[in-house]
Amino acid sequence: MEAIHVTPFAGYVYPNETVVAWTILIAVYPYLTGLVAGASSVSVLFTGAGLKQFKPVSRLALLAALGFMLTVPIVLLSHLGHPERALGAMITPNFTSAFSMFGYFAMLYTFILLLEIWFEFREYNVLQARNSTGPKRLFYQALTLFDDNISPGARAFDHKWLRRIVIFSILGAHGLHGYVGFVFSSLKSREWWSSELTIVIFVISAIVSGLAAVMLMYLVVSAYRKFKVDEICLRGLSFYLMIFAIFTLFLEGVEFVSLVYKGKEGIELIMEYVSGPMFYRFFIIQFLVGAIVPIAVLFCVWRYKLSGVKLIVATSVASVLALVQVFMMRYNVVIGGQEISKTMRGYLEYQVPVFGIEGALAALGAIMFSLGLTYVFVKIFTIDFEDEYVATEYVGTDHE
Amino acid sequence: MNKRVTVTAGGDSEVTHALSANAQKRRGFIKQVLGGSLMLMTLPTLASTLFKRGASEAEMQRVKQEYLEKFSPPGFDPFAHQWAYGIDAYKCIGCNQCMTACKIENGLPGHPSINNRWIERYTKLAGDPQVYVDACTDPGNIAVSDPDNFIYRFDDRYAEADVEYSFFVPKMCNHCENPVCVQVCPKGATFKTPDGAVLVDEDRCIGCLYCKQACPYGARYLRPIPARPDGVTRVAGKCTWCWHRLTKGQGPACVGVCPRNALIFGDLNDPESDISLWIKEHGRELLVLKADMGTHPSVKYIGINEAVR
Repeated sequence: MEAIHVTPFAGYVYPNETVVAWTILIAVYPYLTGLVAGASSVSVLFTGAGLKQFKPVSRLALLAALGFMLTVPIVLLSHLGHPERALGAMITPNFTSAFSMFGYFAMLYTFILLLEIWFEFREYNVLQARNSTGPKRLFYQALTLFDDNISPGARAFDHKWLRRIVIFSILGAHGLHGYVGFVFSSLKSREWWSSELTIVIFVISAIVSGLAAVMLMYLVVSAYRKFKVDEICLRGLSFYLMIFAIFTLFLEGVEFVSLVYKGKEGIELIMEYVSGPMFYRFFIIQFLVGAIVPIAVLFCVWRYKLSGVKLIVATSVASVLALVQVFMMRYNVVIGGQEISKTMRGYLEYQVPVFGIEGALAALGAIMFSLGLTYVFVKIFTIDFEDEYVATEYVGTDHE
Repeated sequence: MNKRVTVTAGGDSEVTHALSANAQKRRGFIKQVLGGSLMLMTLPTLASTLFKRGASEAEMQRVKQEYLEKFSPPGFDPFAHQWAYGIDAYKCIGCNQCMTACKIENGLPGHPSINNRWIERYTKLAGDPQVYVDACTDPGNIAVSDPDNFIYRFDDRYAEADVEYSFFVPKMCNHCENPVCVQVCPKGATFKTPDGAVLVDEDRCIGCLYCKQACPYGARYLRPIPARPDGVTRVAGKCTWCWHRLTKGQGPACVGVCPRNALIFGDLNDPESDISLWIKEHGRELLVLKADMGTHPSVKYIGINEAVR
């Protein structure tokens, strides 16, 4: 018989509920889709909206989005009872299920993202293929899909199509992540999930996590490769991070206040839960340390126009905390939603195991895997963060 | 890079705007994003409207047929029945025999956290506004039970207390007419049979447990041991009303062992069946659990109050 992990509880919960169904891996799932949407947004700031100050991180953000996106199905499949049957859910789906549609949306978005990357790096790949020999040449030729035309006409064609694809990419990324929010919020059985604001909070907080992740990656790479960070870019990212962090904090606050104010059946239990086992995770980490502190730090960056080491330290701290905040929000949604019993008479006190497929190390491993993929992609496409070659043409300006 | 663009307005007067080319492009980009959003919002709605009653229904029919061919013996016509289940909480004495019989009949482990059915005890003490609820997972009850041998008991914690009222409520899958679990199952592995039972095709289930999250009644679990010798683990499990027995003309195991006849089961298509007569007798008292969920449960109760959810 397979092991049955019973979660300690207080009050009364349905007997079958004492075994938590969705664990930390399912919290990683919306975290990753959020990072995809966020990183995609950062990339679009330059490639779509033509904000040139974000040029240094645009390509990094695009590749990070792919790294995160490719990890999403691995996380989901790892959690299934029968992953070998998962493909069947796409071949013979139940159209009334929110979950069955996710596979199609994810596949569509991945295709759009790959297409965007193909156009974005086509010229680079062609040049790499031309300047190499042997397997490396074949590899880059394969990446170009064996099309080595980079004449001005072909490049103009690329730019025209990239501009169109970017629009679907940003919509697809946020649509996908918003849909993940819908997967949770559409369940009427759980009061904690069935809020109308869940989808909006998911999308806005995704931008926070994407901005923070790309900022942090950029800072890490700059420290590793020892190049001078572009302060205008960093300051711009931190300003957007501050704005979206404020939005997120406001919306999360509104959601909680409206839950309390409505005071529906079981609110006493929810209050007991958030002021008890969830207090540190919810009020201290998610709201105070993860939101208010980074907003204050980013406000200082903006107000006092910090530069040099101060800017790097401030943005590093703020982005780490913002990433912690968004993860804690995902955790508090996924695990918190299950900890509040459907009986509304009790709550569970779930402890994340360290080891095993449902453990903290597996979750950390999934996130590290996505970062590893991003590292490999950056290596393949050799992003030179200081070189003017980086995204030499972008579609939002007068290059056409 | 920034260009000054002169815009002629009207004809006589010339208005000069300092718009950068970038800003114009950005506006264009935002317009395209908004246009694209509208298109993306409209298309899936249209598609889902088109497919809702087409592919999905056909697929569900196919799944049903497949299941019936596999498990329904010749001669049993599920379209000829409409099963329903009644629970008389006035009669239930909390002996847990139904739970024991169910576990043995359906190959469930003795573990109190994996159940097709269980019994809840509701107790109101004099002078205390709270209603206390406990069941088989309560540490006090586990201490007096023997789950390994399928023996479940309630402890006597209220023996010395001033009890205002106390009653037992058997709980199980409600085999809803509008089941949320069927709605959310990504593969159509959970389905409703023509005779009203909500079943799981264990050969199709991917074990995502979205159904467990969606069920408002906490009726589902992940199977730790196979239900039948050639069955599998790690699929969704639930009460089937002993559908394998129904196809042989027998009733659910729980109903058969209840010493107080507190559980009533039968075919609504037969006006003389136990359930038809019971519903006729208690029509005005009948209650269902969590009616506000819109699931329309097929399990009806009498003898419970508003504390029961």
